Amino acid sequence: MNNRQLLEQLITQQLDNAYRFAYTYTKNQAMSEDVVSESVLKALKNIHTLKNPNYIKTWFYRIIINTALSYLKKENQVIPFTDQGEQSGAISFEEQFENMDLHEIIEKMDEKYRTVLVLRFFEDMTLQEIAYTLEENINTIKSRLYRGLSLLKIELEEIS
Amino acid sequence: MNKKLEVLKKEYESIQPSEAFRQKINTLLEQTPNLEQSNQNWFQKHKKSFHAIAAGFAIAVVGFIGTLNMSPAFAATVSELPGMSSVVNVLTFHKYEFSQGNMEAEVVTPEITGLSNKELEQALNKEFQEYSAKIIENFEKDVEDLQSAFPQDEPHMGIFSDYQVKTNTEDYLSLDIFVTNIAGSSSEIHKYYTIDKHTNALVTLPELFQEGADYITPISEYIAQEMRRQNASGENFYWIDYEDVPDWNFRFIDPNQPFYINESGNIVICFQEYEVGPGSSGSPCFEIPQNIIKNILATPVQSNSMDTQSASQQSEQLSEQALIQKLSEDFQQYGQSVAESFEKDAAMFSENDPHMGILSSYTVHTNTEDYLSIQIYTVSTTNTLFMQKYYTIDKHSNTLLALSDLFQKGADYVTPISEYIIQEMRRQNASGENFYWVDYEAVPDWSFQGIAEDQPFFINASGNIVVCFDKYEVGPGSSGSPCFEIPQNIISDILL
Repeated sequence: MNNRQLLEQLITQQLDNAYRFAYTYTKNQAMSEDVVSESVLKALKNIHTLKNPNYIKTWFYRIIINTALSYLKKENQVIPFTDQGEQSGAISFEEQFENMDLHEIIEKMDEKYRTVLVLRFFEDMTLQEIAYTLEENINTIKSRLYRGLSLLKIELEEIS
Repeated sequence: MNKKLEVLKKEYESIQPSEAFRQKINTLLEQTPNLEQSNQNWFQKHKKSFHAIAAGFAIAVVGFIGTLNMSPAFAATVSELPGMSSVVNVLTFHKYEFSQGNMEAEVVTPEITGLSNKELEQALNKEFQEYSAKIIENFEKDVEDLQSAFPQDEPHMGIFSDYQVKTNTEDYLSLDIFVTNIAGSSSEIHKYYTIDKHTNALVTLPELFQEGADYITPISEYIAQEMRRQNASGENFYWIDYEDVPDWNFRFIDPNQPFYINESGNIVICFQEYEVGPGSSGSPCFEIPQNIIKNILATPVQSNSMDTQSASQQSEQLSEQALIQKLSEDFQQYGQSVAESFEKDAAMFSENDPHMGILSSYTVHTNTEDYLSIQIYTVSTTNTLFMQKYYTIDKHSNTLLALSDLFQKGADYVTPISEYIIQEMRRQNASGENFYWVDYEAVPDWSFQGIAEDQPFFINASGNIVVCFDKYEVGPGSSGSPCFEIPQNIISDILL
């Protein structure tokens, strides 16, 4: 199979995942659709720049991330923080997170940490694949993942 | 897997794209031409459709550019007045915006001010304004045509024109005016202007060289070689050695090929979109190294006319300035991102008056005759923010050092350093001094495998390399941001 066919196969088989992944950035349907369509077009146009077909998935996901980020920048989208009800007295940052439910935490989390959590646990990428996708070294990925997990109050030992 | 994660994963998987979207993507896959398989057909088709779709419009613009194209004769007639040096600036003169349904336009018109040659200034500004007016006129006519031809549809069309100052040094002002036209496919047209501030005249490419000198051959040969290199490395794709359609191959630049002069005073040769490669290759430019053309340049290269000492002094000063500028930009950016993260966190929890604090500071690790090593860092009570950066400056070359710069070219420094650190981590784990993720059976893929090629480091007072990790990189939060001093004997063979 040549790279173009590989890409078509990847997009057809993993369209749901690509869409979900874009959704974690945009949080809305119309924008997720735009991001994925544009990413597909970019990938098709630039498939000749893919050097190693083994990295086609990480390569495509990198395109989605870049496209999503530039969309958010263009829209200057700030995800509003919903009111947490009545709470009085000074409480710590960590306690704040404790009072949210899980998906809320993951939504409020800094994009850096959220992306590695999503790629590792929902998209089942290896640490090395995440490193390729984000063009960061593997130790940085570990560091972000650990911080993400600790915000979710999950111990490292629980994940294997 | 952990229960919390399982719940989140289920939630994630419940996000589903619509059937209509799935079909849209399938159509995209079917209709986007395959560059690898049918290069020839696609280019032919694309070229045709590019003209056909944008018919009245694109052709009119291209035609107009033709008449504007700077001929040496035009440059000569507007540049006869003698010059004095002055503050030359480029400002935005006018901005036209239009948006209706899927039709959009934004046309920015620049204006040059401060040229002592007022005739040239006026001529150029008039040309810019006429160019914009022509673009707008064509756009408005196209909008009308499309609306009357397809009253039911909302055709996609857009035109964006803007300018960029490429260089504004003591010697030259270089300006790029570009138009992006979206009508089915998109296309881009660039126009470059370079003004010599000493002669106060527009510069044409032939004027940069001695009269009668052949600059076309060396420049073309250099560009051809650079295109081959970029094709091979995958950086870009150009039509060169392109056997499918030999006619399309790049051979020579035009005697009046568009160009500008960059900040370093080098000539940069530019091509329009589709001139030397497919649309995805963009509108490429090539910086021409001085050594290729130094013998035929009209004005000799500056450093040749100076004695070596002052030349090297100047370059040292330059690199020092550049370094200081780079560092102060870096520091400012760092401070800004710390402040931004803090404000973001604070805003998120402002309702509840949480306890939060951050502290940002710096440490000088070494300041010897040879090196200056500093660390800037930020700690935060919220634990979600912790950043640090290390900088080591070689005082002799005035350059910022990366870890790889300390070793012989091509030498493998990653393995010996990583092996040493692993051994030291094991020792500290056993003695209870600290705890690192090494031989970590609970989660094997977290075990430390090795340092990155550009791992942060500093040089300590004894001149040893100290390799550092961020918090959480090699151990839990309680292990801090550990650093390891690398003994000389481990790397003495490969050090520079």
